[in-house]
Amino acid sequence: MKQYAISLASLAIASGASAGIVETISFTNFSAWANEGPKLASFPAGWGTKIEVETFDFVKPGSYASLMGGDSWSAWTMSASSGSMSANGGMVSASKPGGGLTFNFTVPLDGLGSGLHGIGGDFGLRGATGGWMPGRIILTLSSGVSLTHDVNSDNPFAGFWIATPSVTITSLTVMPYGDDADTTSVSINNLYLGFAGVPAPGALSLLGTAGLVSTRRRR
Amino acid sequence: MNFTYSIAAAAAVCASANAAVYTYTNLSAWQQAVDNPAIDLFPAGTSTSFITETFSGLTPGSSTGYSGGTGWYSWAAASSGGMVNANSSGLYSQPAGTSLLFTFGPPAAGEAGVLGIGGDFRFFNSAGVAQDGRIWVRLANGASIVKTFTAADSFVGFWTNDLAAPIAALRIQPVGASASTLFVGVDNLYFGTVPAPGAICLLGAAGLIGANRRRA
Repeated sequence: MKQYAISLASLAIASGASAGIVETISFTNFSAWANEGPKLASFPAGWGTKIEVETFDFVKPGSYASLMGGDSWSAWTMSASSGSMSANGGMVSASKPGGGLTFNFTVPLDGLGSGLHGIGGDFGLRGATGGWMPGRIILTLSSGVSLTHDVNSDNPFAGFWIATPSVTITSLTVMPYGDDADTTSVSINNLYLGFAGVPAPGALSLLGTAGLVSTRRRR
Repeated sequence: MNFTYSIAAAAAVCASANAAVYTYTNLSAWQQAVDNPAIDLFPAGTSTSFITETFSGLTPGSSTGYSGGTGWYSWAAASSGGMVNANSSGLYSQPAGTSLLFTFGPPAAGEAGVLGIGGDFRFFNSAGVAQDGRIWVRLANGASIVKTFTAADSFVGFWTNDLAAPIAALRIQPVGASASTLFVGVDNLYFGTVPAPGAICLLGAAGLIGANRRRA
């Protein structure tokens, strides 16, 4: 082993992302995803961020081939790799052992990339009786990044932010992974959707109006 | 005819048009990733080589940088704060709140370079006592993870399937409320690779040709 002075060139290489996949940050903690994710992503000046939560409370108990919800940038559809999903008390799970869940989302709202840049969820693994099982899941994002995550509690969080401004999230697949992959199925309790982009025209109009009112008051 | 199709299919495999990065929070799962058919990282039968860097050969002290390894797993470490501290358990960035940066390779002829990288990452306070904390582990190819690291849960690792673009750099950056007061470091660094692209292509072609012959 030898000591040496690292070159500025190599520091420059590592300080930013080189050509490859789009910049994608994985998270295993909801607070970090919600509070630090948008900051670490360093979206362009003038962009705003907001988060919506889908609790699945609107889904009545039963079996479904697909589900959909949200609106505009947060619109989502959901299906199971095993063919059908079971819903019960705000939780949706793939019906058959080995089954996973796939989410599809909308395209960017504008040419700048405004839209869905953050996605996360409280994902779990269910056994044959529907009770939670410890194990491992793999989440695969449309950006080409995957995260394998240990499920050591009922519904641990896992999520992502895509930091590349022009690229939004178009799909997320969550599958059982590892030794028990064939005997467990994926479930979700909450889906967290993160917007980043240019605020909608309505929001801009409101901001403009507020600014004008404030200016008039100062005068 | 089948042979022609096989070569074309093998070429498609080697081109690796869909670059993907797999992130792991468990060392055992990271080590077994190449053999897991669920993610299909490389063609079946691809052998894997692993190297663990424990930093035990470093002379304790501080420097502007350290280096080690050889060939495909050669590494160099530096700090955004200017100084790196080496002690009996690993490398740490100085001063508090700064990032530790590793650069790798380039690989020698016939080597694929670093395709898998992982580490046991830690936070220490000024007294050298391990602390829980949140670290942003970033690859130069754009993939990263933010995770809370504890003594019992300190591993993060990645694999890329992009043979044309091995992992060139890894940066660990403290984030969160206590980030500015703690020292971020690494106890062990785990390297993984597979045979160079030419060998992988031959393996893929052999597999496809074999499959066609069995069908014939």
